Amino acid sequence: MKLTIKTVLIGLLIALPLGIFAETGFELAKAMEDKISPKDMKSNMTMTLTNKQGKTRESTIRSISADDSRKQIIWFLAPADDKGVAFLKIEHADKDDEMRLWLPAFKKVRRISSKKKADSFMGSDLSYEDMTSRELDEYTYEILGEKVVDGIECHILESTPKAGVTRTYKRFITYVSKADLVSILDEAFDTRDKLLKRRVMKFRKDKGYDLPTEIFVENVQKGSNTRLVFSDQEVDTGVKANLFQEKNLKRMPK
Amino acid sequence: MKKLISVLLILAMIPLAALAQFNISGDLTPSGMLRINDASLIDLPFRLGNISVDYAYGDFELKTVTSLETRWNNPEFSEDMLQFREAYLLWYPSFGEVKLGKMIHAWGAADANNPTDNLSPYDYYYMFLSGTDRKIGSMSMTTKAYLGDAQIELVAIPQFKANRFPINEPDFPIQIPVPEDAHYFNPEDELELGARIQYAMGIGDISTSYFRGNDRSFSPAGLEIDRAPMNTGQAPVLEQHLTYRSTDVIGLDAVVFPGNWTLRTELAYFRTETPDIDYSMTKFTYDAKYLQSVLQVEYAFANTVELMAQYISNNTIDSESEMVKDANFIALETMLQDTSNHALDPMRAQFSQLGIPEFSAGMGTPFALISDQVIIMSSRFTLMDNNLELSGMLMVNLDQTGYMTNLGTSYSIMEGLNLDATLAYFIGGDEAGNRFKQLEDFSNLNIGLSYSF
Repeated sequence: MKLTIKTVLIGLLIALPLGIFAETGFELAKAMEDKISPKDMKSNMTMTLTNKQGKTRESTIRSISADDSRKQIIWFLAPADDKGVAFLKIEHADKDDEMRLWLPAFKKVRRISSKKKADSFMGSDLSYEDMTSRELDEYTYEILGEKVVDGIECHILESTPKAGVTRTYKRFITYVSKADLVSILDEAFDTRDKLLKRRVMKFRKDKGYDLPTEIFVENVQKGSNTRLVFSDQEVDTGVKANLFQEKNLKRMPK
Repeated sequence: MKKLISVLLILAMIPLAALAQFNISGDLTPSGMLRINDASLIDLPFRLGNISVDYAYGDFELKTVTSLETRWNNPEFSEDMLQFREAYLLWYPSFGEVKLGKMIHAWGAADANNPTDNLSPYDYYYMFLSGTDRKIGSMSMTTKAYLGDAQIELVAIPQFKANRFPINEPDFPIQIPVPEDAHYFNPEDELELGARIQYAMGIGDISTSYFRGNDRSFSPAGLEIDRAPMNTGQAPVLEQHLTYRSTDVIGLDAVVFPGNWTLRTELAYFRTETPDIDYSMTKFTYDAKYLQSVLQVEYAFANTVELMAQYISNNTIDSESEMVKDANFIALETMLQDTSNHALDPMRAQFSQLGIPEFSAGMGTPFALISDQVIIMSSRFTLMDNNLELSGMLMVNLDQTGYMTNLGTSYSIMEGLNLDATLAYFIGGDEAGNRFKQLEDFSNLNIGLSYSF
């Protein structure tokens, strides 16, 4: 009997971080949120926009984020007509989020409404909402089943905004890796419950973290897509909280 | 000479480039304006290209912006074509930023029309451009400190700089009545000071500002009468003198986000006074208070469609003006009254019409020059996966009959290269002095390419 309890306890200890313990949708979502993540992350990104006709436009971006990407600052390095544009996002739990855009041609930092979340981010298939975290308490969750996606065993998690929570999507279906508790594939449905976007994510292990290496967002209704490829990633470098201030939009710190 | 020194200074900086981060960017923007009524070319200057050269070394940066201005009817190169629009040094201390040199400033929460933004003069040749493209840099020093949710900015401008007006330009639609030989009295106290405090809140940002400076647009200072020609039986010569009034501006601007709307607003209170000019002439003095405001409303309908509306107003609260006649003026006036010589009748008639011109604002939003009340509505949307941008703008003059419509397209030919076309159409009423009527012949199609590198 003692051996059985010990085995169960050891089993629980192993199972807990892997998310096997998650039985309900909320528990699974909570386990994903509680998963250890870097305190901060610096990376370069190549954002490639491809339209329906196959024409592409490539941007180079420098990004620094902290607090699970609740604070993020982005500088556009290329192409030439976007160079110098910078974006700052700070998500607040107790008040409206702050979003600011530095427009060098106007020499102004333009505060933009955090409620305009459906707007495209710099013409990409990513909206501002796609770039913000989903608050755990603002959704209801349900596990719809299991599926193998690209050889990875996944839970199928449905997230639906609670009544009174205004979102541009009606619901999401997320394929969550059972082993790593990360989203492999995320499908966003518009207010008419038609599939609007499909987001595929790839990760790599580094210092115990699952770090994104590529995000591919496809707007299935428009036929366009955006691919974000990460490089030169650095984590836990001790990014100071005061980096996420308006003054740093105007120049990229070294 | 000044330009040569600037070039030498820039060249002297080149050895530092080995240690610094060096960055060159710019654009080529050849364009031409054709009149709609006869497809003739409008002969006004345009910027053929802009180049920005930046050096960054540690917490310091040197930024320069140079433009090449030309016109199709006179494309020969001259030194005046090269415009050193900005050249300033930036230092990023821990508290914020410090800038020193020739630079363009931008204050205010609204887009394009900012009554609180009076630090940099406007270039009226480029009034229909956006952003800093229509402003002129001035020598100044500015310090900005970031203190949590607050920002404090202090600006000092030691050298006065006025708006650039297209004077004696037959193709410019609004003729500015300034004689070629008009004499300008520059302000004696050229030092201008400004301060702005901005506070960020959950619901939006609020700012207040103060600026003590000199008008950017000239105003009548007086008349000088040269009676010498009368000795040979000719009419006396009247010389017009102009100056820049000293003006204090108290500003308030805010941006808030009620529901799905965005509201940007600005309010500026101006107190202006003609300086005491130590010069013997018949003087015109003004002492006035006026208020300018902008209320901007934005709404985003869908991913790619935005609607913006602006209401701009300019109200004179109180205006006192005085014409202080000098001995020359009084003597001539008396002579004309006392004599019944009919040969002097034309001069008498001319003299009887002399008086102090009506007060007009010398600072604030440039639209105050056209109207005291306008509404602007604009919309912008993209098609063909962001390769084609369409924009539309309608301006309605609420003072007199007047409309301006602007339809723009920008097509992305390839990365960095756009084909732009803008149709500007003006309709004015028949009232005397209707500005929009004067603009009717200026209705034009502007076609150009823009290549960014």
